[in-house]
Amino acid sequence: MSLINKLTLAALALPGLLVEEAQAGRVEELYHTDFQYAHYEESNDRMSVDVFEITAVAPIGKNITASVDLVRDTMSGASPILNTKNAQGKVEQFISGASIYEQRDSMGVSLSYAFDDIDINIGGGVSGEHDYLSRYLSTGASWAFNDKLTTLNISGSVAFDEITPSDQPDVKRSKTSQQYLLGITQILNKNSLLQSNITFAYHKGYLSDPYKLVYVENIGTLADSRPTHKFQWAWLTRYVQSFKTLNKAALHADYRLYIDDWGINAHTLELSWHQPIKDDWLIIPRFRYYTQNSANFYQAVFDSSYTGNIHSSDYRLTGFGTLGVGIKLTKSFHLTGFISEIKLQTAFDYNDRKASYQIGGDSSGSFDDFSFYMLTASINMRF
Amino acid sequence: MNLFSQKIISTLLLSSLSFSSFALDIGKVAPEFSIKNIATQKLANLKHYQGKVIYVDFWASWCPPCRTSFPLLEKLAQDHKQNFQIIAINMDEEIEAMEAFLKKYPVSFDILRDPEGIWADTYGVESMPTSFIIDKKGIVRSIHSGFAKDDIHDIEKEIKHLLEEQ
Amino acid sequence: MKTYSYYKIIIIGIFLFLSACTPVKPWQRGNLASPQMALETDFQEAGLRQHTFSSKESATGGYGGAGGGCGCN
Repeated sequence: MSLINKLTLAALALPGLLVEEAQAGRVEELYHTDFQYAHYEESNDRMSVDVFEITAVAPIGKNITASVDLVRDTMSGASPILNTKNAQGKVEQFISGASIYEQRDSMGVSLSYAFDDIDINIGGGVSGEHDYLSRYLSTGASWAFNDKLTTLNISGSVAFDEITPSDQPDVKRSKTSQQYLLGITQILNKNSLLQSNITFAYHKGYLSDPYKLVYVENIGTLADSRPTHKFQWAWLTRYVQSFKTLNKAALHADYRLYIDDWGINAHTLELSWHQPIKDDWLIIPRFRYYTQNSANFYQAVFDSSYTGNIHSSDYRLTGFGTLGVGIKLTKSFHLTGFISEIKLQTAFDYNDRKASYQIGGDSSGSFDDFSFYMLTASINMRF
Repeated sequence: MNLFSQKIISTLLLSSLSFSSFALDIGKVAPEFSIKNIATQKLANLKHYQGKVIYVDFWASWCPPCRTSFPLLEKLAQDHKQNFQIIAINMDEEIEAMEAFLKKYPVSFDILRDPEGIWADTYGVESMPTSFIIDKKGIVRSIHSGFAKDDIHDIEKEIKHLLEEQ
Repeated sequence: MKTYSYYKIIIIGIFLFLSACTPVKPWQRGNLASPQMALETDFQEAGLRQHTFSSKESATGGYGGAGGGCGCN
């Protein structure tokens, strides 16, 4: 399995950064360069984002692999600030009038060392926008045993964030996050494999959104105020099965269970069908379903008798479901010169987020509904 | 945990892991084989090559280090035409995959086909690719598991040393 | 005591599951090495998707780890 097809958990936990991790064992000695462009856009003239990413991977000697990843996001548009009730007593979402423009840059590096059956990696990175700075460190190991049919994965990362809200420049708030992964990948037979991972995350510090408010009926607004710590637990299982008769197409099925101590439980299901077509073309239709319930301190609008100090009306903390469909196309060119492979990829995904899609939910939260699409295009080269 | 549970768990643990079966060791006689040569379509035996230093390579089209190794092995074969023979045993399940690979990486040395893996099993191949360097007397003198670009220098040194023997 | 029995069942289940796997020889991994069987073929896109979803949803985590593939070298 090539180097470029590995993931490092730690980076995934953190904003926009994904760095590869080598397989347990000696390195594959190829240089990789990957470029990706992505466009994200929400409905109702809300947010839109353009993302540019470059990753470079190089082998050093027989056992070391180094990689660098750079990302730039430019965001523009509007975001919901609070909910109010209109004259009919119905909840409405209020979106910021001003159009924001934001740029986020991030850089990550990682190094991995391959022993006989064990691979160890360390990494770090920094990500910043004008009001937010995040720095992280990560480390992990992969151990392949049982004739390399079983791989045990373990990793941990820690991130230190600082928030300086643009409208309160004298205020500096911080947040520390830790995340740990324990997982196993098992080859079941010549045509299928299974991966199952458990992750734990713990966040401490300022976890609220400085740009959001809650509305207390007949009283006024309060700043978004969430607990100062959060514990999250996720269990993801991924299954891959190939079918001999369909040109060796493969079905990928993933299910993730998520639970946190803010009262949110969520289920994620992703299905994709990887169909090779002749001449190194691959077409991948995909489907995603997500459902979550609401945090125990969430209310769309707070009653006039509310007197607590933990409260939020953030649309991300309420009950809702998301249905997504997408399609991806890839074409690989295998060459024999200086460049040994060029791969072109493009994908389009459409996601519809609705209160009524929640399992056991209703449409009372429909004022928060929106949809978004993502378009991506990338070039991957191996030397 | 009580003793019964311990027994069940260790039994299941042991049965779920596979231990390598017979693995050929350095110093042992290389097993005789009878495998089809794709060029001549006839069966090739190890004793046909006796008296030469032999490099037996188990490879497949889907194995990235095999792509790295082939051009380097071809150069090695060209540099040592006297008394040295490379035998590349292909493990692809489908012959088309092997043929496509050989079109991209043409070589002059012998290609044999072992799609069932009978001979890979006999030779105790534990990873892809694996190569066995056999001396003029038919004894295995070196085993290389996996392949990295720089390995070709060690391999060449070993071949030269064995060519000087006897 | 009850929780402890559940853990026993889970551990035994895992090993029963593992022992039901067909051992795959190193030279039989051709299919597993194909791009369509890789857990992640496009790590940049995977990172983007996870980042997008976890900024619009509460759930996060679970992804990562090596394994599968050709097991070469």
